[in-house]
Amino acid sequence: MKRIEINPMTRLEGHGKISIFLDDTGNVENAFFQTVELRGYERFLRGMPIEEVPRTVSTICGVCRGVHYTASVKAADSVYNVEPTPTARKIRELFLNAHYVEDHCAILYALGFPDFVAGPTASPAVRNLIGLIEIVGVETGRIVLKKRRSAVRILEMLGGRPIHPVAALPGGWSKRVTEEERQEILALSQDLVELGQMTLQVFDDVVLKNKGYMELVLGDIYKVVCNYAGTVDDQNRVQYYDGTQRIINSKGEEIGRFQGKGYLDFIAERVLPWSYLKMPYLKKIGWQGVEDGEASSLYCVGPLARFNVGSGYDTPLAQEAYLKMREALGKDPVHNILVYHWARAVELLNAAEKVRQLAGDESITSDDIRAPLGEAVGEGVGIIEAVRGILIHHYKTDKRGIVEEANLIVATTHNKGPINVAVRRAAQSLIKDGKVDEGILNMVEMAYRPYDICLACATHTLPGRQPVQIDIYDSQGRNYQTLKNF
Amino acid sequence: MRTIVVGIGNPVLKDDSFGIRVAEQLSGVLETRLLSTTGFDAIDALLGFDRAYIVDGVNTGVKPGTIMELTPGDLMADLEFSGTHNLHLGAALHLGYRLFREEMPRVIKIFAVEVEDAANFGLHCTPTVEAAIKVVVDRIKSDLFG
Repeated sequence: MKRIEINPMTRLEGHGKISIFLDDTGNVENAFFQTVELRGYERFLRGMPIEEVPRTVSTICGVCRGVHYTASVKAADSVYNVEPTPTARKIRELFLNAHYVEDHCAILYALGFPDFVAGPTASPAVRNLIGLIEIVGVETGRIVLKKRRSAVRILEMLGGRPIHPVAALPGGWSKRVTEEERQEILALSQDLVELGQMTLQVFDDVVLKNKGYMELVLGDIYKVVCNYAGTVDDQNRVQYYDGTQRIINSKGEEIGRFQGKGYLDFIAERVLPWSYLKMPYLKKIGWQGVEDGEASSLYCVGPLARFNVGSGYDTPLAQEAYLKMREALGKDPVHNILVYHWARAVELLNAAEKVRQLAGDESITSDDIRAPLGEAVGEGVGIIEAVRGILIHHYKTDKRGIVEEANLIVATTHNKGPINVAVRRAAQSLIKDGKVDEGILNMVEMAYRPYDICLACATHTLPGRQPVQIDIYDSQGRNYQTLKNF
Repeated sequence: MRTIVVGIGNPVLKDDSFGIRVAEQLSGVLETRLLSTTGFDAIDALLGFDRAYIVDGVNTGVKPGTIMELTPGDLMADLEFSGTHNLHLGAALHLGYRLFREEMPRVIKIFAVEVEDAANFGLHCTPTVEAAIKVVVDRIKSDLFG
């Protein structure tokens, strides 16, 4: 059996790597994706006061800085049995939505668009962010980054620092928004809405109007039929900060809903012999293997899952874009994973509109930013929709609020099964009779890039990149070819 | 001449905090910025300054504590990445100069120290790397103030 390995993506919390196994005829027999675990942080948090946890977990990842912070402070609310004041809730929601704009912008322009603008089989020399800029123009690139910076400025104002914020407290937020700041955020929000509209236009011009790309987007190479989980409000509209987690099957039928600790009734984890990380699956269906299809117990989270689970978005421009997507894709769940990028572009606009709505509400400047704490109840769960999907922070504490146990389930973990299927399917479609070339590396990477896997990048060291390597082994296990991007 | 020191790293991961520690020691002397990744945020940090010192850990296999002085040109060869979590400094600097040439620092010096342990939790660097903090702080001061 031949073995192809995309490796290594070594990071703080373990290794992310892809191994592809070929049979004796050189066709793909199986593929495995091994991803990050957060056990290191979970141990590190033990013994820490719960109110210190948000500032610490924000260092898990410099990209996902706002989401671990927000989920953990919601868990801290639960531990102290306190509801944040309406003003604090608005500030937190504003903070999270600004983070959405900044993060979705980075994913789309650095990761999603280069494949389409330069073409998925283009040389790596042009199929990258710099190549994208050369094609769309320096002025466009400049506008995108400047507007993105408006979101970073909002994060800095609200969180106290641009990276690793410090303002969240159980029951509230430590820093009120002044009227001057509200006016500034309101002005900046216009940049964000324009960025959202511009991004959807780029997607429209580059992808939707290109027949070849749409065949790729809607074809079978990048398709994973599974269940979906996402957060919605009481009208089933997509939510990020709070709501109910809704799970549907691959046909769109509801499997169930949960909040807080209820996740334990729906999500189980399977130990697999080839990975040190457990693979989540839906408890109500039962383990069905690392397989997609109508009987699958795998589920995925993130923008595509939210699009499938929800019945729309709660802002007018995003809803308009949603209806256009539905018109093109139909009413049933969409299983084509490159549609992640389309949903991501709609969410960018949705989050930008929410920033504008929240900043337009004068009551956000109220000084009622913190509710008195209750007695520590010994346990708290905080769930949000992180940019990449449902994020669960679950803590057990003593009576003083000192953490005794921590369990963090991140989007990349939820998506582990579907990513495995996606990588295997792409490899099976693209690698035939043992023929592997440089283009294969990118086409296989395209199977996991829509999920934008989080590998706890906070430990990076220069040059700060993840080398990707494919090692090809023959049926005797001998390495006869290596492809790498470093 | 506006100067900034940008320290990159994770404050709770031993030697990965090297850049953060150097920047913290220079806080109050110079403008400083702490970063945990090297993506678009690095461009944000540099715009509007005439001169910048970027300080980070590096893992090249040489003796831990070894200090390397690099230029943006040393990092520019590599423009690929597989996720937003690994947008690297070379790509960010390249992009910054391509898009915002007039606003980027005319002089960028990168101090990188070889790490010994950047994978385990701890609020301090290992002793060898800890010793390099003062050396880099002094080099930056000397570079600026003679």
